[in-house]
Amino acid sequence: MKKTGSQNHFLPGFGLSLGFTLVYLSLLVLVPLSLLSFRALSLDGTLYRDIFQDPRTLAAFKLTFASSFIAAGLNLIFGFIVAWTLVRFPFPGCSFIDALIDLPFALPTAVSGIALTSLYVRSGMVGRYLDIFGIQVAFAPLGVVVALSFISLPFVIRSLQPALKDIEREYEEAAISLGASPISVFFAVIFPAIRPALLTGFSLAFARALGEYGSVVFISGNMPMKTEIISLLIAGRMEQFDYDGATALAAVTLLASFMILLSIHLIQWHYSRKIQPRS
Amino acid sequence: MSIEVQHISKCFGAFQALHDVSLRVEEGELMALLGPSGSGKTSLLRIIAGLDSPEAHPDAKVMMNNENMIHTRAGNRKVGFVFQHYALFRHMTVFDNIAFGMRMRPKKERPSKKEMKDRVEQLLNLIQLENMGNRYPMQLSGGQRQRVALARALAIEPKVLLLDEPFGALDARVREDLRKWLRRLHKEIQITSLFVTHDQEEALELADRIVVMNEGRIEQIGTPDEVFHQPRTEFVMQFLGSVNLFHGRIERGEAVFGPWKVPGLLGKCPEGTAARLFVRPYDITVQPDQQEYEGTIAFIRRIQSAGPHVKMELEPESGERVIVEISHERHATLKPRVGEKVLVSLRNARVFTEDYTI
Amino acid sequence: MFSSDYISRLSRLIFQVITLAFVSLFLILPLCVIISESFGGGLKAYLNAISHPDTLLALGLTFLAVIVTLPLNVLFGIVAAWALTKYEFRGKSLLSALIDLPFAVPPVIAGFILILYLGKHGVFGSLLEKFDLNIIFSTPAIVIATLFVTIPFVARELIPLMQEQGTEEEQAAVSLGASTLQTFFYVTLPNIKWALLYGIILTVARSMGEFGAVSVLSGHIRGKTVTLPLHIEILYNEYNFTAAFAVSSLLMLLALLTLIAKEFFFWKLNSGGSVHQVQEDTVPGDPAS
Repeated sequence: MKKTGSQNHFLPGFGLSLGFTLVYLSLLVLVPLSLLSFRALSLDGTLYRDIFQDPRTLAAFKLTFASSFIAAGLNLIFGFIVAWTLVRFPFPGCSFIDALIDLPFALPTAVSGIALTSLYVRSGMVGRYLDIFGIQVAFAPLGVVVALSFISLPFVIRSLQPALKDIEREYEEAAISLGASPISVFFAVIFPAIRPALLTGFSLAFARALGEYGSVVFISGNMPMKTEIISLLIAGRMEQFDYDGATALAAVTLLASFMILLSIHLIQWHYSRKIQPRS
Repeated sequence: MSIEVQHISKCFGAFQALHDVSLRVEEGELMALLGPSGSGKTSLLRIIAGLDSPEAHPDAKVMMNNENMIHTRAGNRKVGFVFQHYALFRHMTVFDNIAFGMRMRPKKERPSKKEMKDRVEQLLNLIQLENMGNRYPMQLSGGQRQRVALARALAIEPKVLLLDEPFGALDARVREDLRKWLRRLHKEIQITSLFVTHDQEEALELADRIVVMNEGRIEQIGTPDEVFHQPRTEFVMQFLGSVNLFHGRIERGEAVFGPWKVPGLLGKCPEGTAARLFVRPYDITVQPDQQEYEGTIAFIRRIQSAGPHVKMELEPESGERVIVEISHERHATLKPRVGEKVLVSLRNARVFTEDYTI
Repeated sequence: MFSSDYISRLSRLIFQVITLAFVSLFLILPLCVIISESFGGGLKAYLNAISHPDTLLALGLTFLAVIVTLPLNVLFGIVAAWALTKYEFRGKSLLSALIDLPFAVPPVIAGFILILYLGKHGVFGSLLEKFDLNIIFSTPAIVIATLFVTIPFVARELIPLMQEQGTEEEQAAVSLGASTLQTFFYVTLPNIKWALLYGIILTVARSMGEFGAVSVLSGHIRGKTVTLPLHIEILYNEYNFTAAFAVSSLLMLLALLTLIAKEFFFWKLNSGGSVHQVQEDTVPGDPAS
């Protein structure tokens, strides 16, 4: 990282501040992460083969990625409705609800986990009604989705709100005056305007959900092949001091999640390039 | 204190903002750096202030009172800098903004609370915002903010005042008033001042001398009269005031531009050299098409009589159209009509060829 | 046919009802269940649970993790945001992405990475071994794990704001003779204080509640390396639900306080930029007057 232009900035302290930033980041993040990559690269290839052949691991991968994806997707729908109401149809008490949106972020995940579990077990306040229809949430894959939706909700809403505020009513009115129906107004005017925010919200929610551990361990019941997530498998390997196995699992998970996040960024970049004028 | 810069260059990536610029501002002078945007005038001002540093060059110098300050920190140069968008500290009152520079001094040099208060009040008086000390920048109008920025710069008792587009962000009317006020203020405090502007009127009205800049180079330095009436380059001629431009070439010692001919170039320029002729719209004489007058025949295509002068667009029998400005009195006696034939002659025309100027 | 006014009022109502139902069911109900469950055994059981020595020890460790994490990550956040926004250099966006990296690392994996890093066989760990220091499964491990997961919070809040504010005020300060430190404390800090407090609140909330990374690094030694969230897990797994919820209610209270503080700072942050329209004043007269 070489400073461009003159060597002598009006504000002294560049070297010190950048140096501190880099050293701090290196000591806490970069060195540990590269340690994992070195270890992952030096592992025996059979370990990786085992990951993709072990049905229990594969089931955990499927559950983790699928439920994170569903949770982030559900949050896009409900998050949009809540954000739209807060921005466009405010009612008394709205600011209270707005403040409460950050609750899943502020509440320790272990607390969320036991609270959601006791709500959704068969005898729980919500679970007993769902049980009538034969729907089981706690100790079932659905529970994982509920927990992940809960903890990732603020990310979607907080990304959407500023974007919705920025939409000028004039655009909608112009579309309506040109004869568009409410649904076509949404797809023609609103959706393109909030697409970047939706993608950002989705990727943040997805990333958060992928790594979530605290709330899931309580509600899922941690049943092998059924409700076990990857984080739990990794923790299990570590408890058995199977560091090689944990390394392989962690490396594959990180790689997969980085690639998914990167592709979301690329989609976003693709759209932003279309909108912004070339400079 | 005088300012002198020598051999100053500045690059931003591949873009060269300044090409080996040298310049001297005399003690007590009010000088304008005039040029279009991207001409390097702000870069030069920032380098003088120490907010940017020039490219390394063995002879590069930024001198104040003949002392090289190129390695001196901005804060130690005794320079008052007024920013284009004022850069007032938004969380501080007007009083605190003005006192800031004094408060930042090392303890030994710091004036006492009483001295500071007196000084700030004196400055508030100077900028005529006596009762505004407790206001925040947000609560001030653009013109008031500009004056606070000036007072803040003056509070450190600078030896030199540098102003970056001081009136750039203001309404036309406020801008004119502040211009007059600044002129009087400068007369009052006699501080060596250098200001950047892209507004020729501002430069012509305010400055003792004007530096015309273009593409990182100095085109001309001179009094407003000199740069306006004796422009040394085509750029200066075109940048200051409106001008008619004709393209032509040298033929048998004469510069020929369609119907216009400028003699006296015999032996000075090779045949066929491309030449350009510049003439100000008010340096064109228009006469009725009668025997006693001389000139080139042209037809009136448009007349616009609103404004301080009457503007006419004339089309000669051959060649490019000309814009002419005449006074309303002349318009009244001449009584021109659109489509009418008139005789046109040029005064004070200036011819530029590749390497020669008349 | 319905009139468009009727449709718009209907859609408004539908949106509001869905939002209210969703928020009540999804956000408010869990809070109610924590309160009702924690007082399920009566007030006495509740007080016993939260005043139990193990609970207090866990509270102390959580507090310690916050106290150590906060100043370090605040310092880092400020310095990193300062370097990224006040200077021009190549590789800026790369550095910005690196600061966000801990967000993308699942906490359990973060904990595992730190074990590799600091553990007996780790690079750093073998060095510590020589001094007979064991970090893993001890208090320092908890602190370092908390440090890791909360690195980006302050910087994330500060960078966009400082970017938007630019460097003009800093330039003005420097031209008036302020040093770098003076410029920071007198000019930059007052402009970013609400965003900074907002970032601090986020850091506190996350470091209080971190579970995954801390869980794998603690070794679950009861009363020694157990933070409040881990304590809840232990109680819950012992089927001591009332106690688990009682401790949860403590954390819930802290979370609600966090939300209130957050709202306040956010409100302050956004009300700071309100612009008053000011009429252009009269022409200044003679400067000599």
